[in-house]
Amino acid sequence: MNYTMTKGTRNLLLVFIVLGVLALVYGMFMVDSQRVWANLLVNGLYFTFLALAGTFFVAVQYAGEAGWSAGLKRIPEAMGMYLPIGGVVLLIVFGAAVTHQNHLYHWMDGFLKEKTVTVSELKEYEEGLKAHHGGGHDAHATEEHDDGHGDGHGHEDSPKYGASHGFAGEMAEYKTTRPEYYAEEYAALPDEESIENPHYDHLLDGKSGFLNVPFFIGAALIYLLGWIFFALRFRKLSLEDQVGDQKKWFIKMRNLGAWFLVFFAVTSSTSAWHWVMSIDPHWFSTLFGWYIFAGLFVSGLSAIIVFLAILKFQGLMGHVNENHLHDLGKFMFAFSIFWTYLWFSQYMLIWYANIPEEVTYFQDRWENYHFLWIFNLFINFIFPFLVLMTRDAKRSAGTLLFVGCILIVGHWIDVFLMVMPGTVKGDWGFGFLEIGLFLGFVGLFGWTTLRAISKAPLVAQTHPFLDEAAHHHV
Amino acid sequence: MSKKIIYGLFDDEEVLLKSAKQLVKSGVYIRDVFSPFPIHGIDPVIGVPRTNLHIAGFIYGALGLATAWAMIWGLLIIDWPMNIGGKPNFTFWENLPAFIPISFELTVFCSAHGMAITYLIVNKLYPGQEPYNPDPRTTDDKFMMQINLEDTSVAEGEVKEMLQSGGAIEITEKEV
Repeated sequence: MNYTMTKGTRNLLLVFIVLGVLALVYGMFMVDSQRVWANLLVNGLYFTFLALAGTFFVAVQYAGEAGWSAGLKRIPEAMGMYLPIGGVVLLIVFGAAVTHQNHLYHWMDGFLKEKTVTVSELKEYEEGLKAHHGGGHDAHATEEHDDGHGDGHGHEDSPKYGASHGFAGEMAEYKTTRPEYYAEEYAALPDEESIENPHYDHLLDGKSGFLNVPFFIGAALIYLLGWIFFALRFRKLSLEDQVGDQKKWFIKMRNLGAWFLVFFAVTSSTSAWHWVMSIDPHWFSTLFGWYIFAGLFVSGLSAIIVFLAILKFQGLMGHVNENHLHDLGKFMFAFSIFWTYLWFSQYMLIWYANIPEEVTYFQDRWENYHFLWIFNLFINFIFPFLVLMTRDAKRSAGTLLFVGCILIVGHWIDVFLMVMPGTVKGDWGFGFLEIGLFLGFVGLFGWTTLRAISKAPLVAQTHPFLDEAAHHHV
Repeated sequence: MSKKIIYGLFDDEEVLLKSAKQLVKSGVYIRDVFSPFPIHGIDPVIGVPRTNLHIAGFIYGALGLATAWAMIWGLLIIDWPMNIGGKPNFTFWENLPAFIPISFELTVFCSAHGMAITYLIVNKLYPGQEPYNPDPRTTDDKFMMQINLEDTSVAEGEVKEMLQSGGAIEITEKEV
């Protein structure tokens, strides 16, 4: 029993991909390049994580010797086949960041880590800044000196908050009055004179052991190559005909799964720090890796469910019945709550403590992304929580497909909210570029996965747990 | 209509399940099955309805949430306005993040305890309750089917015969 992509599916995905390309071209000519790069980073990260979640799901099932999922393992396996493409997209974005084609990562600016510079170096640096940003909005200064863009409400015009914002509010005002350019102050000095770098950022210098370009690129290569290795290996071994040698085959898969989990446990956290948390380099959160993981797993499960529903509505995957759907639904429900738990743990401690360098992270989002930031909680928590609460909802392919589609968009918004404030601050938009690029990546991801699914029989006939999966009952 | 009860003892749950299916097919109503462990798939066969415990759980949870918010609102907003986290706004909604953990705890507490207590009461598992297990062997390694003849129109002899051919190792009866 094989799957073949129907004409309708193929055309829809092609339209999505064409829309994505159009959006990219439109963005290159019509939109600020920083915003285009930031969007590429959002989609690069999100869809790589989506594919990674497929490989993670497969690994967990083998390592846990789970029988129920034996009949549907082709889908998460196939999702992992997108990893090389996602990796290339990410590497393009990172490569452009390292060569200063974009300024997604504030900390990659080496000048900020120099304690002493010469006057000419300072002049040159500030000329560069002015040329890049027209002297107006300073994207380099995402946190350090806010030029007041998109600001100005929240502290002053709300008397009730005057005292309550306290230290954070004062810090914001202090930042807006700080000068951005210093070269004039040193104009009288000779060019070769060494001076204390007024742009020196002791926090970035202190973190440079972790946040430096060679380590960043090397680690990114290790993460991506490691994940791709495991994804391809799972797929290859899974397609092997292991008649008569099922036990040996299964032990091999179990060990591979266990090793992947060890690798994933470390790299899912460190990649989250490197790629996402370092966008706001002054801020840190100790549970950020798990937060990323929770979002990754929910969106991955949603994707598995969506693919499964597509196959089921074509009359395939008859061996996967409502009992298997029920378990996937429970997974999705539970991990939506887990995601919320981490989201809230991160938010509440920072809100409560109200320490300036921490609270600015949420202040940015509250002031410039107000609706999306609150919508994020509704779409990713309240919605699945209420809809998936009953047993019947979790056993219906239609309901799960609906919730899955919404959650895929919801967690994309979550990643959008992680990347955008630190890269484009208030200059974000939600137009053809964002929607088109998202759809383009949906098309690319869907195409890659469905093509991989169509290349192998849907049922792994020699899987030792296939019989157990057929009798699964909850 | 006889007030007689017939017990069929089995030593294998699969055999009992098969026999139960056959009995139900012939129109016999099985009052209950006693077993040392849950028998997979027996519930729909002998007509045990799906539990409503989850609805009770939801109601208890909602009550717990209401209790928590009423308490917090009364204690920390009305009776003794509290300056929480250096943010003296004295409103419920603006302090909500600080109240979420308590709301969560009380929701879970009330939901879990309410469900457990409801379960025990509904199943008559409280102190002083006489056990109504007909045979102590069903707490060890045997399985027993209880058929009340008043529930069914099938004749006594026929029921016994079906139990016999279904693999019961022992058939006993009791007048009530």
